Amino acid sequence: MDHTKVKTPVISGKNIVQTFGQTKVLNEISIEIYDGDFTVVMGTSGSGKSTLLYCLSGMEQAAGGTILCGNQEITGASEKELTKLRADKFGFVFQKTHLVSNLTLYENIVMSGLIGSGLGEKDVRKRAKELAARMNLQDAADRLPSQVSGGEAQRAAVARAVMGDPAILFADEPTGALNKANTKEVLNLFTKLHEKGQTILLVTHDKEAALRGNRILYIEDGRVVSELALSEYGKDKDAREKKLTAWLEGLGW
Amino acid sequence: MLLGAAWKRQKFSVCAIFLMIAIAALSLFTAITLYTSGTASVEDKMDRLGFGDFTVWVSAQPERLLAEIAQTADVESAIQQEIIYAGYEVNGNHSDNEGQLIADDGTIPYHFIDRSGESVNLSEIPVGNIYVSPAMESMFDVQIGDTIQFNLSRTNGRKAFTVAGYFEDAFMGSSMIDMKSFLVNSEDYEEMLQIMADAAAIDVLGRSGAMLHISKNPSSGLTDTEFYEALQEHTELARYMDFTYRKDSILSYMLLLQNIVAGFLMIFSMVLFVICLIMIRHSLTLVIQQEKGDMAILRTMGLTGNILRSIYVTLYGGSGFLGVVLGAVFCRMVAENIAKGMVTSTGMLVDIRTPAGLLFGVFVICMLVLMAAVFTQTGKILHIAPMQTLRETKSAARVQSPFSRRYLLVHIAVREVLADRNKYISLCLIAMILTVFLSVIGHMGAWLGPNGEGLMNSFSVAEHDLGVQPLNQTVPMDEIERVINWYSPVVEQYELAMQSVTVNGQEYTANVLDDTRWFHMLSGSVCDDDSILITDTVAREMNLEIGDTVRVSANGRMGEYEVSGIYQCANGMGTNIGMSIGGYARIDDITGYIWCKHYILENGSVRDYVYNYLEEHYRGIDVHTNSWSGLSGIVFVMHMLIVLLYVVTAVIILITVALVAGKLLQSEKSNMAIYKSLGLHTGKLRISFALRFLIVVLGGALLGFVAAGILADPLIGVVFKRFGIGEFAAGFSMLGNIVPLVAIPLLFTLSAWFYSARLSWVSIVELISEDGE
Repeated sequence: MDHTKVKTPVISGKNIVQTFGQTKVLNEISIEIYDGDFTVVMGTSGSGKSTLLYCLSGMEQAAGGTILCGNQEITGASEKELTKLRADKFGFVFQKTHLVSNLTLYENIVMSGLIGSGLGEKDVRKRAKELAARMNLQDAADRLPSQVSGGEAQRAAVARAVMGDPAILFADEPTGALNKANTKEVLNLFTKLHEKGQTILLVTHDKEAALRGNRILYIEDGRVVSELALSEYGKDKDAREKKLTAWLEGLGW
Repeated sequence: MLLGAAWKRQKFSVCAIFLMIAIAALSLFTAITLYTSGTASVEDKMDRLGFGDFTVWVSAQPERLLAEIAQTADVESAIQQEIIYAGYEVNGNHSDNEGQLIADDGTIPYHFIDRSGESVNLSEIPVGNIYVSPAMESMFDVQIGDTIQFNLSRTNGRKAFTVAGYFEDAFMGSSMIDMKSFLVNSEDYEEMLQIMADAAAIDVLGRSGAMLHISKNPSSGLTDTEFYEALQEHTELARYMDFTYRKDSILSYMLLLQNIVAGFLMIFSMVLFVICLIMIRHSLTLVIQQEKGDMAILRTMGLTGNILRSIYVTLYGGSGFLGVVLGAVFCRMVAENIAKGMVTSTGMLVDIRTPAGLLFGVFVICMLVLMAAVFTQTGKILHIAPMQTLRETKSAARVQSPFSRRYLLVHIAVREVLADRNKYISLCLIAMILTVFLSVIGHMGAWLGPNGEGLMNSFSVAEHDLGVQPLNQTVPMDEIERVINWYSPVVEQYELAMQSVTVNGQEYTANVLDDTRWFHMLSGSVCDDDSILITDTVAREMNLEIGDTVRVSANGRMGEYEVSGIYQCANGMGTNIGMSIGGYARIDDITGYIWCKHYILENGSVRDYVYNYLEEHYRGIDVHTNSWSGLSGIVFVMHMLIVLLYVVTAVIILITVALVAGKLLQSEKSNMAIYKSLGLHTGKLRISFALRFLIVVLGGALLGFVAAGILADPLIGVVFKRFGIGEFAAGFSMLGNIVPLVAIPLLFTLSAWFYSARLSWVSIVELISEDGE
């Protein structure tokens, strides 16, 4: 699905600035994440791509600029407002799976629903089971994160992130710690979610992961220096790869 | 470099442990210093004032007795010190007991002191002035400038003195001893003797007498008891003496309060030491668990396990060493201040001397125990296998516990506790120990009561609200009883006489009751005409058991009695016996004015009003309540001590929580960050975190509650036996049982909640990025 033509921003940021000490990590970036888009942010290490994700999701307060989620301003929002946003509208997948270590995979998914979704308790459990099945986690659902493979844990993390049917799914290098087979499994999940209309913002430096997006942004020194639309190539993987490779080479990748 | 890095990471834990050990060591060393100094100091001062091994108070024939005593074998010396016995009034209070006036003629080296016990130079007491024990302040609120009036005869026989200062009275000065000494100028003393000599015999109220200080020959093979028996056998001591005290009895009286304080401090330091050991174990376990990875890397770089271990041994052992040293350095200062604070109870300033050898021995034992704890825990470092550790992934225990939205915070807390239960064992143990500790304190507080009722009942022969003893036949007892009944109906009444007797030659007070069911029985059966009751103290002192036969004599007549039971009466540190009126009649006259009528009122709270009324309106009676003049001072100190220990316990809890919570938050950062990222507000996370403490501490407190229910009374009983209180039973009370059970979990939970505020200051990104899986 390609919703970029509708151009309804889920999150929009203007002139976002973030500094760590004297270093300006984000340098007046303006960005809009559109509803239904699978936006990928690429860049070299230290370019500010993860910081951008944390600022847009309110996990870090930006030093300057304005960020809106719908009509709600994230910059300057209280801890309580940000908590509600995270519970109701945002889903997160991290590089390290960050599942609660003493909960089983199934319980991790349920927990997200109990905290965030507006579903009744029975529906939460039903949906958690469905998601576990969709993520092919039936066998591992009753195990602890330490007892499953990295791929299974990350799939559970994705299931947990979408449990509350978030307006946007933030993913920070979700395949960074996975082997090739597990990476493919997780990326397939993202593709499926996108196909069902899930808005995704993925930060990665993995070309394979970036190929799953329909809109690629390249960040350098805290600024968006280039943007590539892959939506016009549909599911033609070769064409998408060729275009992305050429684009990245042009950026000195 | 490694030590510096470890210090940077562990400085809070190390400092907290240092602080707790320092407090524990300070309490322990202070208790030891106070106890040993007190005994040595009072003994020295008693020797300086010439107390001897016994002092006998007589009011007739002192010279004759002295000559007889001096000729007795095994007597090294016998010294006579003249005194005048007289009742007195001060600040509107009529003393229940006579005072003993002593002329300061320079023969006995009395020391004059100020209110804080420090020496004051005085060459001679001016005429009209009087010097008193500082304990008079706590007993009668006596201040310098007050007037004390002695009643020497009924006709113009009052002699008034102005309180000019204090003197160090090493054997009558404590507020525990009702009879007080007063130092006056020789001229005043002679004038008083003259007043008594000039008065008609029927009008004389005061009487001259003496203290006979008797010392046993150091080479004598007799025990004190045997020596005393020999004296009674070869002299007319039993006939003429009013009462007698042994040196060790006086030491117990003089140092009662100080020894109670030292005992409290000792128990507190033991509790704190155990908590310190648990905390060391807890901290090192978590630190080693958290830093296992780094240690594994360092081992791959060639560092041995022993080098790594030495870092933690240096940090934790060093903090323990410094803490113990700090305690040892400051104990003298603290002991001196405590001694100064108790001058108005002990009646003198105890000279604090550092028992260097003993303290060094305790120091070594403390260090050995601490180092053993540190070595045992750090032993785990030696077993870290580098590659295996590096390959290990973070794991958690698989536990089953329910989850529902309604009780989500509780369920999260329960899961965290169950999954990481090893981390919470220390917390549970500490909560249990503190609950037992506070229960013990609470049991004592409950037993003591708001006005010292427990102490009063233990020290009195039998319960009563009011006692009235007519001293002559003109006293209108019917009218007095109507007055008492007007204030409150009398529920029960009985008669008591307290007479001096000897049991197998040893001097004791016989508590004679006309109704023996009022005795506080501990074991055996109530006495009859052929039997007596003894206290635990007497049983111990004389090696007596129920069923033994003893010889009891009074005023030269003697009878044989069987010991029928053990009863409770801590009066005279338990040096007393119980007799029935029929039993006492076998050896002495019971028709004199020796009987004190005891009344139990329907409304006991009016007793002070009745007391005051009778004191003001009737002459020739001795009125008293179930209290003594020094009681309020002791009760006040005990109550303050209880409050202080509650405060210190709260501080320990704060430190414990800071230590435990710090480590827990560190190890659970990741889970906290995840919950935050899922949309759980920091406030809720803090509640859940505090709930974990509540769950664990409540468990520990319940265990402590049960343990205290079983142990508190017997434990206190063991300590109280030393003070003549044979049986301690506080029973169930709010202060002793419920308050600790509620206070400990509440304090821990609130502290944990406050401490978890740091969760608000750390961003999710920081939490997530710091954690490695």
